[in-house]
Amino acid sequence: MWGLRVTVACYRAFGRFLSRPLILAVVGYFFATDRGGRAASRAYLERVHARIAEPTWSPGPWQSFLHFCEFGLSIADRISLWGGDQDRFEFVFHGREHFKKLSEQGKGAILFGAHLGSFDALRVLSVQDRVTVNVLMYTRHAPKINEVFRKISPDVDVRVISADPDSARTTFEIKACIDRGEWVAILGDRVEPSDRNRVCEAEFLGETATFPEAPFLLPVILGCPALMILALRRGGGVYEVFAEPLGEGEAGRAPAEERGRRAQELAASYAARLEHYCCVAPRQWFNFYDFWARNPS
Amino acid sequence: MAELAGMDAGEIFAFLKDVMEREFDISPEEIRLESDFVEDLDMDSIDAVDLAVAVEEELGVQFETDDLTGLQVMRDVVDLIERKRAGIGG
Repeated sequence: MWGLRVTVACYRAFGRFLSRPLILAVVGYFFATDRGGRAASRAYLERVHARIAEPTWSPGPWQSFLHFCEFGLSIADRISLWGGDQDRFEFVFHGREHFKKLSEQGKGAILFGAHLGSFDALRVLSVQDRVTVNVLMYTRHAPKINEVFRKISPDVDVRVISADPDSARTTFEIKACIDRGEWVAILGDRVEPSDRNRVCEAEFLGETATFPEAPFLLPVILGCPALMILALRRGGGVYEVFAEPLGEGEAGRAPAEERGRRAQELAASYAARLEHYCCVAPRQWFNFYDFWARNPS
Repeated sequence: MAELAGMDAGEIFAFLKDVMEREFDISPEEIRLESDFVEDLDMDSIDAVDLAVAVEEELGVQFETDDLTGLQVMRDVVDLIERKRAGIGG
């Protein structure tokens, strides 16, 4: 927690012009020392490269370095945004009508994000659509993070829910949020250790990959819409936000015998759209490990 | 929708066994009041929320997060529903 406070304090004290070189220096260090990360970046970029019709770049050490840099710049933007510098950013929405419809109906929904681009468009949605957005995070410090966020941006109603692998409380909290008509955002492209007993497989960038099943079961069990939301960095403080419904978003609670199939379809649909957006912004996918390993760690 | 107001603890338990059989394919013979959801019935947090939604829909009750957290065995759910019934009854 002190790290978050110190980072925001540094940003406020020294500004973005001093923060950015510092972040890039850290990225350079990790690029030089993280062999596994470099290999994962290259393998991923090769897969994306093979899916793009007319690529203007080739996978190699330079592209992997740029991939690492993009990660650093994305963190710099997050700090800047959360540090209260939101006026410097512009979020251009595609598919905004899907959220407007939900907020007008007061409907709860599961929003699927990914480790692609930025997840911070949720802040904008929270303010402009006057809806509470809950973000599921693998942290035990949710109450303290929420406190820091409230102090930084009191007008933003984004809350963190701790994913506690040892308790069903997290799932009940998600249900309660949906019951209240709130939105719950989950990153669907990483299998955490607690997800190991519930995984599903889907084609992603040319090969079967493992995805967590539980997030895709939630809309099926709770009978709420599922949407995908991704914000891609376009430079100059501009982010393009893409929002679209996933699967049979408003099909209601599925009968018991259909739940597994419906969750699998949602995951496949998510993986296909994620692949599409990875090809749109190849260097903005931030999973620096062997994503296609049978037992990802 | 089942009529909760007229149910006693035994009927609530029978109703739950019926839900568990339909929703999770668990044989009613395997389910006892002392059955632990994780150890005996092999249920996880997703199954737990699934059960909660099914009971809410079929009995017309609304559970709060604090109601549901800490439930470990079937008897806990029967007791919770009885408390809800008492609330409904006034």
